Amino acid sequence: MIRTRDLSFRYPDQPVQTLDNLNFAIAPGETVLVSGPTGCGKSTLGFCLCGTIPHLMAGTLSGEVLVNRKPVFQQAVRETAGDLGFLIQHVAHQMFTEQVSEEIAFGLENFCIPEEQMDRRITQALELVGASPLRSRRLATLSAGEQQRVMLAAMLALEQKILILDEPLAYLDRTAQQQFMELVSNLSQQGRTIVLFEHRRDVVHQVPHRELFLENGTLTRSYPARTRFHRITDLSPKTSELVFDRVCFSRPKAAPLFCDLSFEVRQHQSVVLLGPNGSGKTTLMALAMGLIKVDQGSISTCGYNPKNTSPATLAQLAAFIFQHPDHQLYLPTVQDEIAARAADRDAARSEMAAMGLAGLENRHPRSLSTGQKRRVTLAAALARRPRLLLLDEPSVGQDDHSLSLVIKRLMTISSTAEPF
Amino acid sequence: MKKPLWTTREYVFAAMISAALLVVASIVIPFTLPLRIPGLTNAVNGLFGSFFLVIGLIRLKKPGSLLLITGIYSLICLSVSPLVFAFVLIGGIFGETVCTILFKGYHGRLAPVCGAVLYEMGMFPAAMVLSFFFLPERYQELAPWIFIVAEIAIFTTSLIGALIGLKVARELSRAGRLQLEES
Amino acid sequence: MFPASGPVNATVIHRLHPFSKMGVGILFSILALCIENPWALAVMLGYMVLVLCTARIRLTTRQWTMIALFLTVIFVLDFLASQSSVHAATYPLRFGVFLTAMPILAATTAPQQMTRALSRTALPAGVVMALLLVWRFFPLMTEEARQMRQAAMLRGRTGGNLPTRFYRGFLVPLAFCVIEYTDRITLALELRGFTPSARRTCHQPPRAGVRDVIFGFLAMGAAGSASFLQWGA
Repeated sequence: MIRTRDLSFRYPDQPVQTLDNLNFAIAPGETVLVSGPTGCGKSTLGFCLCGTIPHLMAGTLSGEVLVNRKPVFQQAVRETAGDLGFLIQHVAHQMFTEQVSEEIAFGLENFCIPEEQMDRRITQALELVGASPLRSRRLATLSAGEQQRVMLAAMLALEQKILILDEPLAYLDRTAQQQFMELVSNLSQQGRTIVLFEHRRDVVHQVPHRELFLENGTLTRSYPARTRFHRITDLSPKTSELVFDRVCFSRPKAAPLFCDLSFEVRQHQSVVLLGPNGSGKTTLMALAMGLIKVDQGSISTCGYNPKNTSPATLAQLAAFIFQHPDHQLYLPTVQDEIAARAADRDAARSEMAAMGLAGLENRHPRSLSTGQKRRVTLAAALARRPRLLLLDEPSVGQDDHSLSLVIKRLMTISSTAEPF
Repeated sequence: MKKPLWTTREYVFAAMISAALLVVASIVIPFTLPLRIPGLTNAVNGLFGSFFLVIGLIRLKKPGSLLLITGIYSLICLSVSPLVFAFVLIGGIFGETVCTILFKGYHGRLAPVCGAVLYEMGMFPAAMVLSFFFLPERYQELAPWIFIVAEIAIFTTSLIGALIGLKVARELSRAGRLQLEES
Repeated sequence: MFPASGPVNATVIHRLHPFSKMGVGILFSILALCIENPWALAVMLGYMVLVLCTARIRLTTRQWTMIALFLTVIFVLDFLASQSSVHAATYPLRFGVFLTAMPILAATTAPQQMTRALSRTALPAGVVMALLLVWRFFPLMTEEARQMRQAAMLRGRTGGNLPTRFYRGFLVPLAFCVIEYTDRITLALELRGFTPSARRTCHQPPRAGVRDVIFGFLAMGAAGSASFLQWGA
């Protein structure tokens, strides 16, 4: 169903090959996991399979990809899309309408499916993914997992024979990840050909029939040992750095998000906030930094009340690292970003080294990968020597190696009396 | 299937530039419109509008690019008022006509800057003519020099915005997100 | 200002053909510019408020307050300039018609309905798709802009004076955001099978019916009454 022959690709201005002489085949009905560390070429391989390389992305390409015996590079992306559905990582950017049924109809309209067939296909597709009750719902009201289900339904409605899923678990919470993998397992058992690009091998390993492991753009048979993340040990807790006292908060025109929420984080403590998407984790951090104000109750952040302290003042003592690093990157080089508000030059240099960013000083932050950008924002925050660190979803977009760098640094900070 | 004049990416880019123009307008206009000083809204909006327009024109390059972006933007403005639709479209047609005659596209740096500035400058007289047509008693009392000063202000702010847009275009190019031609 | 994001068939106003609503909105907007009689403008505004109520569009107290404040400022400035309360009343009423005519009718039209209606015109498919993209992604881009402003709030006065901070902290990131959205959306559109030159079918095309005729008659009645008050009385 899919065959690659001597597939190689290099992005413009990159000295190394992103894909190097790949040869593999995927038979009809197979479910294959393509795994590898961040930056190994998984997404690039996916783009080659669906034809967006070379039609939409420039670079030096050689070799061949056949999908249903048709050469992908010689036909338009739309023609390949008739056989192959691709679920991109940012599901929200793949949705073009407001309502679930309209979203599924959107693809059908693009492929000139007759109007009289559309409702039947929409109904069947929603049944296949167990999302029939969502038919009339607005997409914006759905959870990330539900949105992915709907996009899968959109692909199934087109009767695309091959489904490619690019890091589908990236933005899902644990429950949603399990539910999504159950769905993929059902589709696999129905005989669909599925190619799953995912570095979270521990979560997906039971579903695929086999695995292709990419490293530095080539397929290798030696899979790395699973990274062991050491537990972050706390020293004896001392003063309180963050206190929530009977906090109540609700978003406009919505049910209360927090009701009488109270907790405390002390110096040298590390606390993990777990919760499903939409439970208020990011909002809690924004409240702590004074970016939004509580309805009732009180908060103390490093001894200051966020209600009557400016966020900039709080940011001198506490660092809030956003989920999407792009929102916080604003200077033209990595060095400038990290040094901008660093305590001193040594601090900036040491944090850059600790985050594995040496050699990237003069790169534009926006030209980096997601994992690298996240480490830049973290290094910039740590270089300020904050008393309190608020990290919003620090593991998203990070492979095991990148995440281990982050956790190692956090371990050092947490377990040392004088961390900086 | 005949080859389209514009690719999917170009339409999408024009749409995103229009969305950025809308973001900026939604911030600027509520503050400037109530003051009812002729040209103030255009001058302030021009500073940011030309910033994004220059980036759009540098990326699209083809003749018709300004009309594509402003055409999409004007259709969005139709959901606000047909008057706004009209003067945005007229400004776009004016800028596009002049730039197509002079430069035959938006290659290099001069053409995008001219396109952005001419669009902003073209909108104001169109808005004034339409307003004068519908509300003559309000505008006939205003001295002509007010309009000249307003147009000079719009030229100045939109030129500044366009030059800042050129600077950001270079930064986008350095980050690998935009290809610049060396003129 | 933006097309509806609620249930498509919520009220009879939502179920009207987009072009019926657009036609009435354009007519009222242009007529409001020609009319000076405040009673005539009040008739038109009254009709639009009726449409607002029928469409069950609810504004928050804050929104009502902002609108009232805005119109009051206009009234006061005009009164100071003209020293005539009748003259001063004309402008807020006219603005009221502008604020309601096109925006209400746009707010009761789902983006897909609008684009399906527009696809029957001579507009290129790419332009129609571009409109859908603006309506769809403007809220996302606004949210990104909000997050950039939050990041700027955390940075405070670091990085120079206000124009420099605005430039580096808002305009530059927004420019990058535009480029990144373009790349992702183009990829997604092509993967969903869209091509500007290819034919597309239509799921549930909007169809004009009896309610459009009734709506048109009622609107013409209001416009006719306003015209009579202006020029006939």
